[in-house]
Parts: sequence; structure tokens; C-alpha cells
Amino acid sequence: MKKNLEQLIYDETEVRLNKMESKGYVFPKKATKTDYAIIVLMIVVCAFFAALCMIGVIV
Amino acid sequence: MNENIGYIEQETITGIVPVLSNERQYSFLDLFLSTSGFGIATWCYTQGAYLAQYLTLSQLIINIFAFNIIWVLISCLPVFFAVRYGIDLWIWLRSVLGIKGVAVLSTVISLANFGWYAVAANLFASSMFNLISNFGVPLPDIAKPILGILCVVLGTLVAIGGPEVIKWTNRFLVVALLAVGVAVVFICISAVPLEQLFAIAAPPSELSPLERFMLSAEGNVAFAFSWSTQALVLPRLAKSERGGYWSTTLSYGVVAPFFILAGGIMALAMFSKTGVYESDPTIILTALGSPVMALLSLLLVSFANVGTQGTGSYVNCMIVKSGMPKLNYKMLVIIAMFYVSFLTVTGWVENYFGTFISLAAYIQGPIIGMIVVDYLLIKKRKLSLKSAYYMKGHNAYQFTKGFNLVGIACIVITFVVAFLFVYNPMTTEIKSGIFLILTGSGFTAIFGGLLYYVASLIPAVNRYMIKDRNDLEIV
Repeated sequence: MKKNLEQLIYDETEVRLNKMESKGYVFPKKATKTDYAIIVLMIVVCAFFAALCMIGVIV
Repeated sequence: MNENIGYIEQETITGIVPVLSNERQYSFLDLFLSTSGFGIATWCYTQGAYLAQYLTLSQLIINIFAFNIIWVLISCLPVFFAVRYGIDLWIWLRSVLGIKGVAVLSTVISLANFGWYAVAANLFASSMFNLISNFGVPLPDIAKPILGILCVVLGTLVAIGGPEVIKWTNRFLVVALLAVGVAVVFICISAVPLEQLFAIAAPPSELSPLERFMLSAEGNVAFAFSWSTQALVLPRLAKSERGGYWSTTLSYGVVAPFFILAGGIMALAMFSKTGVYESDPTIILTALGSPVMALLSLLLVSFANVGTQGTGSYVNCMIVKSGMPKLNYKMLVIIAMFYVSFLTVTGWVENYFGTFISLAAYIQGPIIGMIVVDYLLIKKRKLSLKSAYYMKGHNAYQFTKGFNLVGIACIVITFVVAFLFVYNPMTTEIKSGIFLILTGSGFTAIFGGLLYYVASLIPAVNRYMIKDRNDLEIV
């Protein structure tokens, strides 16, 4: 191996970060507000059912 | 030169170098199947059978799914970041714990995580031992540790193959296993009608119904947390944020819990038919239904443990590499093989399973809380990638001798407070009413995150923690 491993990782990381910084780089498609809304809704529904068990409504 | 290129490719997929968007290998389905393959193991049945002794079937269903879904959805939020930048979350954690803090904690957590694979290997050995015995071929006791080590070695071969082998192994295995899960539930409700299962009351106990419910919830929260630090590795290979997040959360929050429920239903059906609570799926399935179907099901589930070994070995060796990038991936996988084989043969983890998972969750809980708070409230989803990789001239995450003392202090304080004042996992003693609302593990995540946030509000501490706001070049 021509360079030591640490330097090789460093150089490659630098190249990749520069590519990510360039204007032409396309990031993966982002999540939307719908995703976040579903997350909140699922947490609320799960907490609601857990609470029903905790207060003895569901036995 | 070719050797260097090969090494770079290796460091991208089995190392810490960022994965560019055009290199991503995993669609929603690929990641869902790989992660589910990781999540489904025989210990799910064991956990379900254990919980069934304390709850009715209605409570069991809600306890398993509600607590797993809530905590998996929350702890996986930073997966969005992992997918966007193609890095695992342990790189982000360098800004919360410092580079040496990550090296120490990633090693500690991986050592703890590997305990799960010793349990899986022991369950594989026990299942295969019983299966072979059921076919009239008696085996000597020495066969059990040998079968356990066989499971570890097979998993190691999968791990050495890397994500592509893991993807194809799980693509077939998981589809078969999902079918098995449905078949197991079908066998149980064929043997004992569903109404009868719902009518089974929880056995008398000195504990109140709420205490029983929350002690079971503690098991499920600890189970959800056990994935968290590992869940932050594979999504860097996903093609979209949505695919990465939902495939991960559905696998850990729904698929793995479904198999816990299957274990619970098996135990309740067995109790209804024989009056005995049994946790060994080999015995339950043989007693409940068609032996051939039952044994075939168990055979497939046993092999799921091999898939779990392989994916788990890959993920945990990657976690260690996040802290110590210079280590060779294959060498780590081989070391892990010897370590897990040792734990398998001694049976140490299996003998103290409940304590083991809760203690591991007590370390992971505050990390989950801090990273979610850091991601959403403090750094507001913006990290200095160049500082996280310690590029020249980017020093925002240089802390005290490699340790972010604030992050480390939050973990230690949370661990001690939870242990002394909320719930003692060593003795299973409930120390306060907080446990009956949050569980012990849930408390560690909330308290750890809160502590970290409060610390960030103190100006002097904030200046120590947050030095990257002028160094956000890739956003």
C-alpha cells in the first residue's frame, strides 16, 4: 500500500466531502412533512392505548 | 494503485468514509428485509413467552407494539441525517461525546451488543439440539456448544461478505420467516381458539396490575433501545430518507415485535392447553400442533439466528470502526467471532439476560436522548461534517483530550440517578413512581436528553459544547 491507511481514509473522505459540497451534488430525496405527521400520529395513538392499559380501562 | 482503490471501496462500505448518493445500494425493500432479518431471532419468542406470564393477551399486544413503536420512532429520527449524508450516526456522536468518547462508548456498547448474539447462538444450538432429538437422533451434551459455535461461524461468513451478501441472505430468509411467524400464530389459534386466549387472566402476583404492566414495558423499552445504536449504521446505504427511516422503524418497531407477540401467543396457548407456562418454542410447537409444520417453522427460525449473527457482526464492527477507523474490518469480524463464541460457550449472558438487557439500555438510553435533542433542538439538523471528520482547519469538535465532558457527564449522571432513584435493573426493584409512567430505560432517554439540553442553556457550557455554527459548509 502506497500510503498509510489513516492518510488514505483522510484523503478519500476529503474528496467525498468536497463532492458533497459542490453545487452539482444531488442529495437523496428528503422526507416530507407527511412523514413527520405520521410519526407524531403513531406516537400519539400508541401512547393513548398504553395509557388505557395503565389506568385499567383495558385489562 | 489498484490496491488503494480496493481499499477505498472497502472503507466506503465497511468503513466510515461517507457514502455518496450515487453509491447507495439499498432500496426501501432491501433495507426493510435486511433490517428485519437482523431483528428476527429466536430471542423474540423467548421475550414474548416471558411477558405472557404477567399480562392478558389484550395488554400484551398493546404493551409490545406501543412501547416498541414509540421508542423506535423517536430513537430513529436521526436516521434522516444518516441517509442524507451517507454517514453513520456515530460520526455525529463525535460532536456529542468527542472522538475518544465515541471510541470508548462504541466499544463498550458493541461488547454489550455482542451478548445478544451469544444468546442467539445458544438458542440456535438448543433449537437444533431439540429438533435433531425429536427426529430420534440423540446427541451428546457436548453437541450444544459446538452447534452454538457453528451458528457464530456461519454468521461470521455472512458478515465477511459485507452488505451485498447480507442483502441477498436476508432477502430470501426474511420472506420465509415472515411466513413462519404467520404459521406459528395460525398453529396456536388452531390449537386454542382466540376467544379462549383473550380470556386467560394474568396469574396472581404480589405486584399491582400497573407494576406488572410497566415491568413488562421496561422489557420492551430495553428491547427497542437495544436496536438504537445499531439502527444508526445500515441506513447510510439507503437511497432516500423516507426509505431509510420507514424501513428501519417498521423492522424494529413492527416486525420484530410481531415475533415477540407470536412468542407470547405460543406461551398463552401452551398454558391454556397444559396449565404450564413454557418459553422453549421447540416444546411449545411440538405440543400444540402438527409436529412436522412446527419443526419446519422452528428450523427456519433457527437459521434466522445465523442471519442475525451476520448482520449484527457487520453492524457492531462498523460501530467499533467509527471510534477506531484504522482497525481492519475483517480482523474485527474475526475477533468478534472468538468473543461471541466465548460468551456462547460460557452462557454468561443467557444466565443474566434480564439484567443484561436493562443495563445495556441504561447506557444506550441517555445517548438516544442526547442525540435526538442535539439533532432537533441544539444543532437543528446541521452538523459540521468537516469537523466531524477532523479535516485540517476544522476543529469544532475538539474537546478535552478527546472527550466532550458535558456529554460524558450526562451519561454518568443519568445512569446513577436512574439506578438509585427510579429502577434498579440488578434487583428489579422499583424505586419511585416515575418508573410507573416512564419505565427505567425510558427515564434514562428523557432525563439524559433533558440534562444535555439544560446544560446547553448555560452560556459557558454552551460555548464549550457548540463551536460549529460558523463551520457549516455542507447543509
